[in-house]
Amino acid sequence: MKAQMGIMEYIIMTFFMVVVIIVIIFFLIGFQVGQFTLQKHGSETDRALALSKQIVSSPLFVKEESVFDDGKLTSLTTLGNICPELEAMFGNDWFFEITVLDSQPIVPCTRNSYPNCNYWAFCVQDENSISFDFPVNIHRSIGFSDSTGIFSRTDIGIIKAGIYVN
Amino acid sequence: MISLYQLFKILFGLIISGFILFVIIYFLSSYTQIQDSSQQATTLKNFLKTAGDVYTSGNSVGFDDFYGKDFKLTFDTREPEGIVSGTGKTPVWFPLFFSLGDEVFLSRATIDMGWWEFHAVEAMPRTRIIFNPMTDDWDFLMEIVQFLPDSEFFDPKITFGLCDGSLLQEKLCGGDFCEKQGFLYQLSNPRIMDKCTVRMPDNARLIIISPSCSQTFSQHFCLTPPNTEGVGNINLRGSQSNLLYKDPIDIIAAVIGGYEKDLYGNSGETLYEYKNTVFREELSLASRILANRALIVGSKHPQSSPCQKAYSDLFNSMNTLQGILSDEDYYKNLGTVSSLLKQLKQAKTTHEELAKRGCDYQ
Repeated sequence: MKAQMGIMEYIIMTFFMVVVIIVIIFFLIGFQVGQFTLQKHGSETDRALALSKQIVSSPLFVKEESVFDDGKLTSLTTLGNICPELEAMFGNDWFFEITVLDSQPIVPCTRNSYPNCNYWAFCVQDENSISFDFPVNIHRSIGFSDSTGIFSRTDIGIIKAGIYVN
Repeated sequence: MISLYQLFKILFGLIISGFILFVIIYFLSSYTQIQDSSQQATTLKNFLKTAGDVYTSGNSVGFDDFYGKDFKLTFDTREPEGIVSGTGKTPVWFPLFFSLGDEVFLSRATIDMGWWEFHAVEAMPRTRIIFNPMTDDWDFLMEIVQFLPDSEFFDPKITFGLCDGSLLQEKLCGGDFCEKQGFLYQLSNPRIMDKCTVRMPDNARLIIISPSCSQTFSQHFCLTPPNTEGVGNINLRGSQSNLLYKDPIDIIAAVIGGYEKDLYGNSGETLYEYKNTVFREELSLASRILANRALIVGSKHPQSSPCQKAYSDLFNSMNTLQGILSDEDYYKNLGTVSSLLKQLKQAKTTHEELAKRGCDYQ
């Protein structure tokens, strides 16, 4: 009887040791998974920021850094479904929108509405996203005209650039 | 004599200890592998973030996170282009030419076409670039150097030197290795040098400039000076292909890639083809945007305005460019490359004319 009690003690003690080790292993795995989730969110934020920096300095969109060219933006919106080509260059699952801060109703820029328009959008979808908003300048090639000719002007606007997340 | 109970205690203890030890060691080895992969992924992510910052800002920087890590990176130019490492393929969304080392220096090279710019990031470890000009046309040599990284005030260093026959001249700048600006100051006395016969160290790139590369075909990099249309040849050691260059970045891409073989072929040739593919994609899109822009903005000017004609010329110029670039292998044909260069010059002139007339910005 005493021997059997002793054996039981060992078995119970061993069982608890194994349980503690398994709990520690699961804790470490859970901690690592949590770290990976945080890193994923950090990576997505970094990517959104890197994309924003790339867009405001890309010669495809701007006259100079942070000064968008309304002619280039309107040209892009009127080239048909340009999103796949832009995605091949800048990556997948991103978007940006530019709105001129002129207190006027939003008028998307097309061949017909140009230059009396104030909004451009690229690859916009109805999905969850991480984005950054910041002010930019917009060079308006057809700014104003008088008897001597047509002149450009610079407007201020807001760009919202981001990436889609799951 | 030990009792049965004591024997049971000993055996049970041994079995359980062995089992627990096995579980712990197995878990630790898996955990270590996961941590290694995680560290590799983080280092690669940091490298690409740094390279992206260099691409957008144009500011050079050194990167030393590769130090002490066992990295094997290759560049896969199949779409989407990306860096292949132990953790898989990481796409790269801007032109990047890199050569791996414990520390790399990142800088940006730009081709300015007036109406558009092509940027690319160069990432090189400590490298000694040695020129062996077997011609007295050193303007071409200086043009190549202009597009190479300037590592002054940074580490690692990219240094420059000359090789004349059996004489290797690297410490030309007051007894020290020359960096970019210092080397350019030394190139004031053009002369024809003898074929370099010095054995190059591992971190050196020998660039031979010769009117004919056939005799030096097996030696490192051999370039022929550009013809009147601005096109020349690159011969890479270990490659059977005769590559054409039309701008210094074609040459830089091949030099940075080197002449080692990797999974995808000769690494210099791989980067050269990658550069031309990305260049074509960006230039095609840029010319379509400018052509359409010329139509949209030009149509808002009065018919009698000189701007109408100027925008119409720009539209035609961009359309001609798109026609040349419709051939994916445009960079392999001398006639096509010459036409491309001619048309790029024409487009630049047309764009400058537009700005001179006050119709558009420079």
